[in-house]
Amino acid sequence: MKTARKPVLAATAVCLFLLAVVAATAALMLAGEADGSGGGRTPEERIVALVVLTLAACAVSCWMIFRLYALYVSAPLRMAEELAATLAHGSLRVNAHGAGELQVLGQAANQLLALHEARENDVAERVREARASLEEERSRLAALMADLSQSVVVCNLDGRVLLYNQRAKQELSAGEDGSNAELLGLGRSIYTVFDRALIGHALERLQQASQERAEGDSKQLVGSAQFVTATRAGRLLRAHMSPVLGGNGPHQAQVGGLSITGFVLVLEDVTSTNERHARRDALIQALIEGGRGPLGSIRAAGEMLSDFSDMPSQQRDRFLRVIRDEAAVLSLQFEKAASAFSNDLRERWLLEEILGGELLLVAARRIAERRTSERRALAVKTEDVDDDLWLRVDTFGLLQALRYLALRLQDEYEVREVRLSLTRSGQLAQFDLSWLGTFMNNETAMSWLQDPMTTAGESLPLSVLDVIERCNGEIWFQRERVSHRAFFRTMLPAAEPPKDLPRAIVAAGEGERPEFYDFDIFGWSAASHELDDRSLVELSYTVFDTETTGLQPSQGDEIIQIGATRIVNRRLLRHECFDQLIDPRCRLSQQSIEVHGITRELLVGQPFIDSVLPKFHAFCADTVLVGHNAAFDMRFLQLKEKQTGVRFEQPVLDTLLLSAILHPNQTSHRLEAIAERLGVSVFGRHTALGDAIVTGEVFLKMLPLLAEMGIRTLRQAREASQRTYHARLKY
Amino acid sequence: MMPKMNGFDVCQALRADPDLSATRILMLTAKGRDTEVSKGLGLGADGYMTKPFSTKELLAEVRKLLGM
Repeated sequence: MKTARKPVLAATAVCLFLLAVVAATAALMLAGEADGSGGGRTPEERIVALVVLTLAACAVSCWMIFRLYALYVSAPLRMAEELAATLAHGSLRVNAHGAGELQVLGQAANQLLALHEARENDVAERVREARASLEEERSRLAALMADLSQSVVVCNLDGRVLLYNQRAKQELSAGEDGSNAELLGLGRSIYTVFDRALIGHALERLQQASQERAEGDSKQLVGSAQFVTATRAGRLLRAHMSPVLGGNGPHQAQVGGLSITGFVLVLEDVTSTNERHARRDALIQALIEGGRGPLGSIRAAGEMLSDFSDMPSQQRDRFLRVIRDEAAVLSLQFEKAASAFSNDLRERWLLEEILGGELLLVAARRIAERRTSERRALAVKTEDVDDDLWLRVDTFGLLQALRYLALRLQDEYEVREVRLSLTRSGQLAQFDLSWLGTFMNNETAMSWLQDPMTTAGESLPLSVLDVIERCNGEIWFQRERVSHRAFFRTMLPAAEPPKDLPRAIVAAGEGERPEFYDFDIFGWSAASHELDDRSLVELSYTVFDTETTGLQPSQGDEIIQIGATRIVNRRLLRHECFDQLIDPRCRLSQQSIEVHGITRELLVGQPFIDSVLPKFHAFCADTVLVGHNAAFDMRFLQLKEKQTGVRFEQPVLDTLLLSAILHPNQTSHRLEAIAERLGVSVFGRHTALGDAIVTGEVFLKMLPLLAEMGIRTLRQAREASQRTYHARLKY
Repeated sequence: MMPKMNGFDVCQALRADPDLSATRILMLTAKGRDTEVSKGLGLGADGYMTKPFSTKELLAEVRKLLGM
């Protein structure tokens, strides 16, 4: 029964009751009247009066009932509705209505609401703080990883890469012919780089060890497993594998209390150490083997000559000749070994490579530093600096030595100015510290070089001679009588410029630090293969673009550049990219050169499509391909199937069709137009990589818009694309 | 090896004396590294030979130094 009807009914019931009562009274009165005498009023008047009285009474009682209802029934109901509304918005409060008691209740309710709101804000604040500190930790970790001098790769149990640093990327990315094969990437499988069996075996060892420890003392950290393996580029790497112990993530190998959720690989390039050892062994071996023969002969001949001093002269000559020849051979062996060995001596690990010019500048600065306020700073000039000279020295020691000598000159001989020069002399670098004016005799100079370096305040246990010797150099004192110049001349072996200069990273547009980690992938598993039903935002994509010699793939036009980058976990990874020019083995028309700006000279010496396409195929492994007008590029790739044996079977999404789905009424679906529509800045256009990056950003912007249209999985995207394609075909 | 001074020191000492500047100095030493050869020549030696050497070579070198 509706509550609004209740008062009506109640009022009606009361009125009827009153009427009944009054009617009864009236009837009784009339009945009484018939017996006795009246009061002088007619029965009609009496009835009218009674009726008026009844109506008045009814009205009063109705009003009272409705009033009471408003105070005690509808007011609480309203309050209940308002309370219900506060569940949605925590900042609302109930208003005061109704009777005094209800208002008190209302105030109490408001107090509770205020408390609740305060608690909620508190919780939100705590969550914000926790998230911020987590972000900070992550960036610290990222910074640490990025600049480590060792290669580090962190993977989950399925072998998906979660984190790696710049060094790892360099060491693992070189291909056999020195080209860049981007094998390492976030979300990629580590098994493209390392043998699966090797990693599996090491993991087993880890799990075994952790199990054993769990049975014993579960508090100890599990150790590491080691193995040595060769990369595709022919480098030898020693890997330390340590487990990542986790709490309650999915995909664990449950072992005892702690469970392994992933592993960390720390890699060390032992190729050069290995090679050096191998070379040294070979050297010693050669010396021994090469020396035995001649020594044996000399000995034999010598013994013959001494035992048989009265042999005929012809025989004697023969033996003497033997001795001479074999001694010459032995000398030769020695020389060869000596020069080979002296080259090796340069690789002592305490030394570092430094550009000679740089060393000179730093030395000049160090010498010119004022020591105390009384002393004037020494003037230092640099001259004859050879700019291309690399040295392999103990920089700290060398700087100390130079400073010591210069300061001693100032202290004991009042020298005002010194000059530093660096020139090349054959295979050696000649480094001079020279000055004008008074100079010492040879003995003093010698003692300066031999004594431990002590100046006021700073002292080193080494002497200048020790330091120079450590750098495989020689130092001596020389005077030029004619020009009154004296100098300490140092000869050092010149070094090769270091080969591992870091490759330039594709600069992120906003100057952000390239990110090499993604901890969200921790939960990924290799089990789910049905890409079609996967959500679009979860998938990994390879966004690519090609530049070609022309627009007719079936008429002999060829691909001349492939550029690609990856999207993992809704992020465009600008630093994991594929960028390769290809020699098409056919002519380039002038028109096409004007379009893409790639001239014939740029293509000379580039690899052919036969070697590039397999690498590109590896780069796209396990991803969905995305391109602008992808059909065009895919046609080129398909035509090369037979020639290269490479088949692209990944699903393909086309940003042109996706744009047609989203904005069917726009006329232009060119990449620049779409980019402008979606607010993507375009730079570096008409290089394949530049276009790929723009396509990638456009694609990322499209994903939420597609989701709003109900396109969330790959299957839906493909079906919608197909529909749009057919629709466009009609036009 | 020589007892007190080494070959380089002797060479340097000899060259420090202006009266002996016409004397030819030929160093015979086991120190064969590039830097050491350079040092020897830098200190004023006219010739530098590393052991082992053949006597014939030595004679040829001496002849050259004496201008014969």
